Amino acid sequence: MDKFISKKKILSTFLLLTIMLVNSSCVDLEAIRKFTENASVVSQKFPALSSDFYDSCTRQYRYQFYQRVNFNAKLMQEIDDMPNQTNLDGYQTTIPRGGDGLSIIQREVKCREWKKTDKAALLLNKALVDYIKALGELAADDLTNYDKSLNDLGTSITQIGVFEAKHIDAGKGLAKFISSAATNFWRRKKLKSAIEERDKDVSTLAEVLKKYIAAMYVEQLVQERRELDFLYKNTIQAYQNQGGNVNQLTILTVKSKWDAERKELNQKIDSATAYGKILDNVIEGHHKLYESRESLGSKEVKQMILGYAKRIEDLIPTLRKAF
Amino acid sequence: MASTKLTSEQAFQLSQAYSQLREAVGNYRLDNWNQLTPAQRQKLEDYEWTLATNASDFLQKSVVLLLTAPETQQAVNNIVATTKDLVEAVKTLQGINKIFGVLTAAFTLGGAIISGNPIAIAQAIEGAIKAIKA
Repeated sequence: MDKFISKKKILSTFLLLTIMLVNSSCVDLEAIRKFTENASVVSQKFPALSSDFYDSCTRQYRYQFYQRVNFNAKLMQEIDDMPNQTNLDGYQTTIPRGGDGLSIIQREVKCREWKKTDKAALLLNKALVDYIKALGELAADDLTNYDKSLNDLGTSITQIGVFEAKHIDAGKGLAKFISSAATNFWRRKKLKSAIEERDKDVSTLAEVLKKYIAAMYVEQLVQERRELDFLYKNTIQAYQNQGGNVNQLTILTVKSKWDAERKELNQKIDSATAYGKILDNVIEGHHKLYESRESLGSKEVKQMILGYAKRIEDLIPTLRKAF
Repeated sequence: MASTKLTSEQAFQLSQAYSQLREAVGNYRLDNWNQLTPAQRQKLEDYEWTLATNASDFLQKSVVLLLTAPETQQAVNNIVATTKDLVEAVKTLQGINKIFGVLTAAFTLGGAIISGNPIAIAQAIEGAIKAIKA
């Protein structure tokens, strides 16, 4: 009697486990993969955005020093070449100091400090992107799709000729079911654990990167744009006040160039702002995954995450406009 | 005693304020061009220059404080550690596929040996070696 009950217990436990595995085997994590794919697009554009801090800084002082040297062609060329100087110690120049008392060399040295912050920012960005990519790789359906492997295995077993085809097919089916179910269960557990433990850190880091680009880099561009505006305003003003005939066409031509340069800066500002919005979606999307961590493969989570993936995708063209 | 250390946010706001002041001084100079002497205009331009440089310095300070904040560094360290775990998890699952590959190659080799076909055997051996090395 005990033996009979024991066998029955074993059978019911096995059936219960099978049912659990059936429920956990149906994992659709492809939405997470799509979300992480789109989110990691920012990694491609970040270096260009970040390195422009230095370039913007040098453009700023160029606008100022062009006026300082009264648009002397030779000295303007020297101003343009400043960023290419490898050794600034002992560099001699006839370019007069700026209104703040600093030489152009001192201004270039200040700008080169941006290269250090750029390096630091790239490391922060890499940490976030590597994490997002790793989440996506673990969520990839082909990782636990053993169809091809098991089909090939079945074919190889058939060649030996020991087993009947119907038995091999049944064996293949069961192996596929059990291996996928078991690994998907483990995979989902790993994903849940990562999302749970790191949601706050992802938010912290993404907020820092968002502030760095969407607030601080944008402010750098705004300050550059101010210097650009005063370059042209001062120049047009000086031209109009020089006495003699004022050629309206000259002013219009200059204005046209001013507008074009302004447009380029404004596009950069738009791109940086779009980058900030992408990071907002990364933060929100990851947090939604955190809130839904008990049901990562569910239809509702899938729809929600695909929504964030789409929002990021929609912002990418604006990001690409200037970079 | 209250801390007098500048925060990233404070430095950022100072940067914006100095830059806006620079713009206001510049506009004043241009709007009052004819009322100002050349010397006065030059002095105002020098102030503008100094305000712009100060704005730039504060912005740089703000960025450095942001990127090097202890909470930022801690978040990075935590995320890097978790990423390592995730990468290992992916490798483990890729290993399972590899096991199937090795088993497939082993059975193919078995079938080839039973068939006695030397060409098939040679090909199967090559396949097995590739599967193991993958």
